[in-house]
Amino acid sequence: MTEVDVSLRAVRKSYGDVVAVADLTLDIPRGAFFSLLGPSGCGKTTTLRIVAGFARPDCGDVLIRGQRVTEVPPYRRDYGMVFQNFALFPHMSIADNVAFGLRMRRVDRGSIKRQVSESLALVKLAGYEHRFPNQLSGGQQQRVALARALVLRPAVLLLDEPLGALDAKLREEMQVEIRDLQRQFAISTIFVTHDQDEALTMSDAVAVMNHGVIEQLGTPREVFERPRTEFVARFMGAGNIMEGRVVATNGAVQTLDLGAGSVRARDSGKRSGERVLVTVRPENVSLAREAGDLGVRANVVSVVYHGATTHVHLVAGPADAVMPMVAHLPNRSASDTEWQRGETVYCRWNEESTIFLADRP
Amino acid sequence: MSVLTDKQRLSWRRYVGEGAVLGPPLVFFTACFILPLLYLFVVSFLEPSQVELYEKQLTIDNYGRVVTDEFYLMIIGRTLLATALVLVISLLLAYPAAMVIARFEPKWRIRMLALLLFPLMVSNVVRAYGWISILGRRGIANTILLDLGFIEAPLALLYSFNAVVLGLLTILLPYMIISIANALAAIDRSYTEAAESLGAGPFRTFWHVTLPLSSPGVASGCLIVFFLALSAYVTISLLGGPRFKLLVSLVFDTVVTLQWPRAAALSFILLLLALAGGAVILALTRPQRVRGRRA
Ligand SMILES: Nc1ncnc2c1ncn2[C@@H]1O[C@H](COP(=O)(O)OP(=O)(O)OP(=O)(O)O)[C@@H](O)[C@H]1O
Ligand SMILES: [Mg+2]
Repeated sequence: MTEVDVSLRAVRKSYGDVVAVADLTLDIPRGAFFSLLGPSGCGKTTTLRIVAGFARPDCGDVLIRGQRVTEVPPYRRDYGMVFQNFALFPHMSIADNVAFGLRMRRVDRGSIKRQVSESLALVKLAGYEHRFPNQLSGGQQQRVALARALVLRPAVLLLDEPLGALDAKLREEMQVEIRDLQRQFAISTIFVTHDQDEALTMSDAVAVMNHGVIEQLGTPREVFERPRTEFVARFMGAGNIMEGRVVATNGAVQTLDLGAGSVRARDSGKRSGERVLVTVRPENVSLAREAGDLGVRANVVSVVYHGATTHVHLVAGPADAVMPMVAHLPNRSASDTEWQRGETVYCRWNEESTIFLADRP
Repeated sequence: MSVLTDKQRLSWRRYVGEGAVLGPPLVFFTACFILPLLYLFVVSFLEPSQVELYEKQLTIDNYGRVVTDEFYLMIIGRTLLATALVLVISLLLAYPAAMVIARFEPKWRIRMLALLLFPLMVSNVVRAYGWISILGRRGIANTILLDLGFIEAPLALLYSFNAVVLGLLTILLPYMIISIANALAAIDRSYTEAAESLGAGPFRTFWHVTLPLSSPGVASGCLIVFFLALSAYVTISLLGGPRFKLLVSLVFDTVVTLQWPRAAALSFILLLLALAGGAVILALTRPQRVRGRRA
């Protein structure tokens, strides 16, 4: 059995009427890079602050390495944290910043000095000991913040949107660097972000949160390719949410009637006549001008060129129940079909691409 | 042919713009403060005269007399002691109060700070007389103590070191609280949380993070209180009376007895004390520690 570094047991936290975190249960196995992903206000920061001890849950328990720490103050918990604004102490040199945690632990001077140099070398900032935080670039400050947290070899590393303050290019570099450090230390990490790309590229596991609840927890691949709820599908960029009915089951393949046309899907276990909610990723949709047995009839609303792909926005369905849809078509050659605004097209995809979602509540 | 680059031309224009904004106050400041001060400085090195403001004769006697006369030295020592005491007491009282106020959300914090400013709207004269009616021979304090039988005869509460310190404290404490509370409120929560996440308990978080980060507020509060305490003539003369004089009272006395050069020398000694005190305050609080704090 793998060891668990952090567990939340039915943790709940509300601020007045706002439920920030609702009955959250979560286990983070040793060495995992775990992302909390969700839109603004969904309770990611609150969850992290509960683990850190800055917010006390209304009920439920927090465990770090099997120890119940629900009532333990932050400074006696075994974690390191990187804040969104880095929170480097402006009145201390870089060396003093990194040494702070060691000093609080009353480590002897010689060993502090050695560990500080080692940590700074690890984040490629050897020689910056005597600088001050305001003399460093954003990326360098970020690395100092990481060194400061990691020098204590904590059980868990907590990161609250640590890349939010950096520009796009630096973000990508730091993503790789953080992931490398995390692997090197094999340190369990909780990473808070609202950026799905970041979560997908960095994580071993992603928890998609909405209104204080984890809607889906899985590998990046699972949450991206197999969203289970409408919210997760939309958040992962699969905006093609369609309602329909099962009309036929033929071996492992089912035919669904979506109103504006029929599509095929892998057998979902639903019986004929049952209502279903499905989605398809925009990359998997292809367009054709000719009608056929299968395909959702739609009108082109706009065509947007994105370099590698062209995004075709469409509407399908009758006037009283329009379904907005989008297809991302690869731009392969100059002979690709040019789609025109207003024309009628048929959206098709293969049966594996149809994803069944949990019914709307 | 222009030899200026666009950038230089832009910065040149900016200097003109800044000059236009800074000019008037600068002229005013020079005309009404710097020049008279220079004049005063010259006067402090001239011989006194019976018939004119001064004799056109250089001397360092005005300063010499002050630094050799025991009475003057006693007054200077007393002035420093009183202002230092006001400073220390106000700092010790203000810091905890400021910490409490800084914790309130902005809406309430501003109201509380406004409330602190309220007494400042009442003239110093009125407030000094308030203290006189409390501390006087037949004041409220003596009356109560007499009636309760704690004392046999009225205490000489007024015209004393304590009365002056108390009077100055009540006037200056709000400045200190406001200055520190604003500095504390401006400290991002993430700094103290970062300290806690690194294993610092509440006391060590305060000592290593909160206190140093609040040093700009402490420094400005101390400077304001110190300078105002040194120069608070009304409070000092009304509550210190003839028995308890400080340096400002001496300057005033010397002026009204028309010893202009002496008064000028005393003023410069007062100014020197203010500058030295200010330097000590800055050296102790080190507000420049908080460099480049990011939002
Ligand atoms: N100290 C607080 N007092 C009152 N309400 C709070 C407090 N902290 C958080 N909330 C509320 O709890 C909810 C969750 O907040 P939280 O900060 O956890 O969101 P988040 O997912 O981190 O969002 P973001 O991406 O914007 O940082 C929000 O509705 C927020 O307004
Ligand atoms: Mg947040």
